[in-house]
Formats: sequence, structure tokens, C-alpha cells
Amino acid sequence: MNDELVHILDGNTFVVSDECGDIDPDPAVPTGLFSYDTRFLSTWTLTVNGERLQSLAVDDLQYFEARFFLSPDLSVLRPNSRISVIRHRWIHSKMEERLTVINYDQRTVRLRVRLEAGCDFADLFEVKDSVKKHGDCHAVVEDGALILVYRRGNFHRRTVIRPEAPTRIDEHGIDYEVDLEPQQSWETALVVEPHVLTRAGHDVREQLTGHDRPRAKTGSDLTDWLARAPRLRTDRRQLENTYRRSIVDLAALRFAPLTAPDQGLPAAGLPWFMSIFGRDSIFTSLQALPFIPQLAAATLSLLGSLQGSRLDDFREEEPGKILHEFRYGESAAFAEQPHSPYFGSADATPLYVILMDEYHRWTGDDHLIRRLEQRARAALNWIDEYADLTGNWYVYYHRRNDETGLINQCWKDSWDSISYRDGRLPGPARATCELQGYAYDAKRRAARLARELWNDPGWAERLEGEAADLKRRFNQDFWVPDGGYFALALEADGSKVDALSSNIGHLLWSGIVDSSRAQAVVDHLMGPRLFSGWGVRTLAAGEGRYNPVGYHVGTVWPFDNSFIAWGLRRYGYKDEAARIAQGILESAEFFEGRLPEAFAGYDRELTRYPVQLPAACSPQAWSTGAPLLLLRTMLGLEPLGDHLTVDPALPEPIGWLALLDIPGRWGRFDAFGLTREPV
Amino acid sequence: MCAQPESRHPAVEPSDPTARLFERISRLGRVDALAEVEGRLRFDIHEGDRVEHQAIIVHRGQISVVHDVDDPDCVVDADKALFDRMAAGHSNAMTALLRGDMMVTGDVRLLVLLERLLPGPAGAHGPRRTSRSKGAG
Repeated sequence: MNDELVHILDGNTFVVSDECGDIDPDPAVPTGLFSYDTRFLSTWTLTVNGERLQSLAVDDLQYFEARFFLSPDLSVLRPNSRISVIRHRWIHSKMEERLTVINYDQRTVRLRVRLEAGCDFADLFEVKDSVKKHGDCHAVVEDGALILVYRRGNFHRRTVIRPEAPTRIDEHGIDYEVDLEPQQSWETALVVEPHVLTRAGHDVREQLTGHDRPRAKTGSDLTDWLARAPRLRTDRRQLENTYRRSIVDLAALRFAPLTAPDQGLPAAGLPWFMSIFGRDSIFTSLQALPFIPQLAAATLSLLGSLQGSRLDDFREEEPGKILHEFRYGESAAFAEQPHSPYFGSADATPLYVILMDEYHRWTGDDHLIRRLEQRARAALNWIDEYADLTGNWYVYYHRRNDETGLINQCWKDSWDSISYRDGRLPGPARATCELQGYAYDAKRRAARLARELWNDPGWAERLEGEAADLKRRFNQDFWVPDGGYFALALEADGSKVDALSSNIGHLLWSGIVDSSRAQAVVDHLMGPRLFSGWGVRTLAAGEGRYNPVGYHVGTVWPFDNSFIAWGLRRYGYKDEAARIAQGILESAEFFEGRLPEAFAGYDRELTRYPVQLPAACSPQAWSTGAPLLLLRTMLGLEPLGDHLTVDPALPEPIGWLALLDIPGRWGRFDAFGLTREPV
Repeated sequence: MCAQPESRHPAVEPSDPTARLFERISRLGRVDALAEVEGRLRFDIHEGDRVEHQAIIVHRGQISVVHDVDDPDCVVDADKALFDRMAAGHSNAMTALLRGDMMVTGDVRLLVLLERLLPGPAGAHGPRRTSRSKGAG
């Protein structure tokens, strides 16, 4: 297995293979054809005369297709053999593959070309652990196709591998005998279809409205997508590349949920998070609003339709709560994991209300926001009734699913992300600071909508009163006087979890910070303990659990930084916001415009380049959205009534920047920023 | 789109969770949380060789239960045992669909509506509140 993996994807379905296009069963590496959180191919290897091929080059033309240029290993074939193999693969809910074999030899050759196929039907959650399956796998050859089958009771998944031309098929693969004259080529094609079957043997999706609609051809769909997004022009060419990469990757990450097939909302990331995540979809939709506002509309509709309605301890569901994660695999179906959907997130619900208002400010879509009034009311009720675990009006979380639930239900959801300065972990009920900021902002924004759209000025007044009270108490209760910043969290007894963290940047975005304290917060964010030179670290250097390569305890997250930059702009710190934009956008240049989920928190001076974490997902939706939000903050774009206001502050390396055809309630609008005259 | 609500549900066996569920739904009347949902949802409930029908009509947030509807927007097909488990909060509709125990035809968004009308698991505790009074500030 080569080290370099090749991904191609189309929303719900993706393939991860090595550089030859081969898939081998390997618990350490998540290769395979995946759809609906299930692996539908775990073996897919091409041989010529019994030998594996060597990769000469890979051309991943678009996110949904790749071409592998291969050659047999010359040391094992006849030394003068000159055979070329091209394997062209693309994805559009199924996988298609076209094989071309060319004989550049001087004489006729007879080749046995074989594709070995097999599947373990692992749930995505089992891939790393090689879990023993509860059901039975088998393979049959039927009607000119190789069919791989998995059954566990009525749970029925099937991979149908159908060669275009009749050939020899056995239960482990497909064989071709190929005779080639000199300079002659041979071509064949195969289709691999993943099926999610009902007990009557139909694909679940065939019978559901919306899934049956013919999809636009992926190529032309992408062209339309790019044409609808604003155009970026700048003297910093690499930024144009990053921008285009972001827009294309957001097209790739569009996910059609089983329960709303006509909606394309952002899935969280490849390969582990190709699913709906409330928090990730909302943050990404916020980042993309000035560019692709339809993502926010889809996110609001879908998450609203799945809003919690009852108490369920296993799924941590409560009335009004917005979901955390929805999976379609075997472990969710049999309630071995709670993701059907799982609600263990304390921020998705206030963020949902924030997205509602921000979407309306940009688009003026009264119709959708009027329709979602009850969703907003239920969400705000959740904040007051279900999130306030201690009776002190703060948003807390404390998991109820002790086996498979999340300990930390904020964006830093790893087990050790919330700690004291000395590294101690707090008790299980935690009110992280940014949750209070989101609740404050949600109330303020809902008040505007209540007044302008929902015709309830009395409620608006109450919400504003509650928000003002929350802000006043928060600035007392969370302030760490000997540090001059806000605590990372409160415990149930009100103890301040006093580590210095990037979470204070989100507080600026929410507007909950008293203006008298903003400068102190900004000094910390831009100071040496938090700012690495590339961006703000999740946890400050010097804290007990600080580790520059620890997932949420010292790394730099592009998404986190994009919201911090937005917060800095909100409080008037334009130059500081531009410095963060510069650091993150320059780091993107090291990754050909595709920002990883996170990179190491080492000082920029030390490494000179951003060090990517080995397990990080890529593309990851909210990293993909980060350059978009940073463009917004650099240009200072803010909707004001039916107008878009522009107040640019560019970092030094960018001389000028033009964003053309920004969509919104104003129609289309162009924004320009300049630090020096164009040359 | 639909006739006036009619709640002519047959007398309910106390031991029949599915019948009790539809009876409970028939008494809901207006549900604000469903204000944006429109549609007719039919249930084909299999018990041995027999298939019983039940249907729910949602119109502007008003819910009514009828015996059957012509031209439903969504049909949910499953054994009575599964409906009984869902009615008692032991199973949810999405997992039943994913397991293949339930077949759904038509507008799947209405299945999400059904989910909202189902009870949660019996004995759910809800949030872990602490009795400690306000300690901060």
C-alpha cells in the first residue's frame, strides 16, 4: 500500500484508494468505497498476468473523478514488455471505472486482466477496529454481475459489480482475456452500485420521493455552482487559488440527506465525517453566506425538520434541541451507537438561531424564516428549559449516555479539551464560555426577528432583557481577574476553569464581552501564548495540558480562527483581524489552497511551515469555509438593511482585492479593498 | 386538500400500544411544531395475513387521524409488533427504516413527522440537573 491515498467523492458516496486505484483490506487505513456510512468495497485490486501494477501518475481531475496511469512491474514481466494501463474512475452515487490497456510492444501479447473484489460491509465506526460482524457476508454471480451481500435480519446491504461487456466472473472477481496486437488498445468498463435494501429487496431510496430525480451531470453541475459564486480578483494569485479550491470543495461536500434528498447541505469532512453534523453544517453555512447562501437555507430546513421533540437519554435528545450527528450505518440502525440522530451538542441549538438571523440579514428570505418561527421558539425554549442544568441561567452540558455519549459537547469535543491551568479536569457538568456567548447572541438575534418578522414585540423585549442580564452576569462570573481573560468554563458549583484558550475569541464574535474588557481579550489572542504566527492556538502555551500537536489543546484550527477574526472586526480590531487572516491564508498556500482541519501550534518562527496533523480530515467543511469568512472579514462586509456595507482592512501582502457579484437582498454587489495602488 | 378532521377511532384495547398511539395522536388537534408540514401519511400495519390501515392528515398544523386516505403522500409499511414497539418508545422510525424493518414509499419528510409524534423511551430521565443552587457571581 502506498502512503499517498487518493480520494474522490460525491456527497454521500466516496472512494479512498492507493495511488494505483487499488483498495486493500487494511484496518489501519480507511480505504474502500463508502456510502451511507457503510463500506461497500474493501477489496478492489487490479492485476495483469497475476501481478499488481505500479503507479506512474495520478490525475485527480475533479473531486468526483481520477485517472490512474499504471504499468506492470517490468522486473516480473518479460523485460521488453511495454504495457500501459489507464484506470479512469468517477463517482455519482455509484462508482464507474473504465480500464484501458495499450500494447506498445513490438509483438502481440496475451494478457489476463483481473479485478479482485470483496467486501466486509464494515460500519464506518468499525473500520479502525476490525469488529467482528453480527451478520453474514457472501458473494453470488448472477445475471452477468458479481453481487456481494450482507444480511443481519432485515438489514440488507448489497454491492453490485456489473461489467459492461460479458466476461468470466467468479465470486472473488472479474477476469478478462485480452489479446493485443502491437500498438493496439483495449477498453472496458464496470459499474459498482451500493444498495441499501428494504426487506422486499428494493433499494430504500428508489421508493422515496426526491431520490428518484435524475441528478445533474456532476461536471455541468459544478460549472453552474462556480458560475453562481462571486468572482475574486486580487494581486495575490495564491489567494485566488485558495478561493477556487474552497468553492469547489464545498460543492464536493454537499450531502443529500436520506430524509431530504433535494437538499444539499455541507457534510463535515472526508473520510470520517461524511454525514450531517449540526454544528459543522451551521458554522460552514455561516462562513459561506456571502458566497453560497443556499447552503444555509438547506441547513436551516433540514436541521429544523429533525429538531428534538422528546426525552431520550441514549440519544441525549430533548425538545427543541438541534442534532449533533446523524448516521445511516449498521451501528446506528441497531442502536449500538446513538447516531439516529444523536443530540450530544450544547452549541448547535443557539447557533441554529444565529444562522437563521444571519441568513435573513443577507438574503431577506422572509418566507423561509417565517416558516421556521416555531423552530426558533423551540430552540430558545431549549436554552432556558433544558440547557440550564444548575438554575443559574447558563448553558451547561453533562452527558446522559455514559457509554457512547460525548464528554465534551462543545466544538472542542475531545475528552481532555476542557481543563484548569494546572491540567486538572473539571467535573462532568460544564458551562464553557463560548456557549454563553452563543446563547446571548441567539437571544439578541431572535429579538430582531420577533420584532421584524414574527410580529411579537413583547417577546422581543423579553429576549433582549434576558440577553442583557446574561451579559452582565457573564462578565462577572467568568472573568479571571489574575489572568485578565474569561475562564474556559464554569463547573456546576461555579468554579472557574481558568485555562487560557481560543474560546475567548468566540466571545468577541458573539458580542458578550463588555467593551471595557475587549482590549485585554485581544491582547491575549494576539499575544505569544495564543498566537503562533499562523493563527490562534486552541490552548495557550504554558497551560498544564498544552501540547502543540494535541487535538484541541494547542493546535491551530482554521475554522476557529475565522470566527475569531470576525469577532475582532465586531469590536473594531481591524488590523488584528487582518493579521489572523494573513496567517491562515498564507498557511493555505502550503496545502495548495486546501486548509486541513488543524495544524500544529508550533511557533511560525520555529517550523517556517504549518505542520499538518496526521489524522486530520481533508477536505473538512469548516476549514474549507475559513478562507471565505476571512475574505468577508478583510473586506468588512456587513449587510445593513437592503444594502451591503464594505469597510476593507487588508493585510500587507495583499495589495488589492475585488469580490464581484456578491449575492444578497441587494441583488449583486461588488466590493473592493486596496492597501496600495494596483501596478 | 382534505376533509374535515374526523377522529372516528375504534374503541381501544388497553393492551394495544399501536391503537393507543393513534388514539393519542387523534386528540392532539393543533400542533405548533408541525405548522410547516402538509401531507397525508398512511400506515399499513401487518399482523399475520391481515393488513390494517391507519392514516394521519396534517394540514396547517392541525392533525387528524382517519382510517384510510386515498392517494397518500407517504406510506409506512411494517409489522404490528414494530408499531407496538415504536408506540411504547422502544424503537424509533429512523432506525427501523435503516434496519429494513420498515418500508417507506413516497415523501420521506413525513416519516420525520411521524418521529415527532412518537413518544421517547419510557423512563428517560432528561437533563442531569444539579440541585446545587447558584454558586457563581
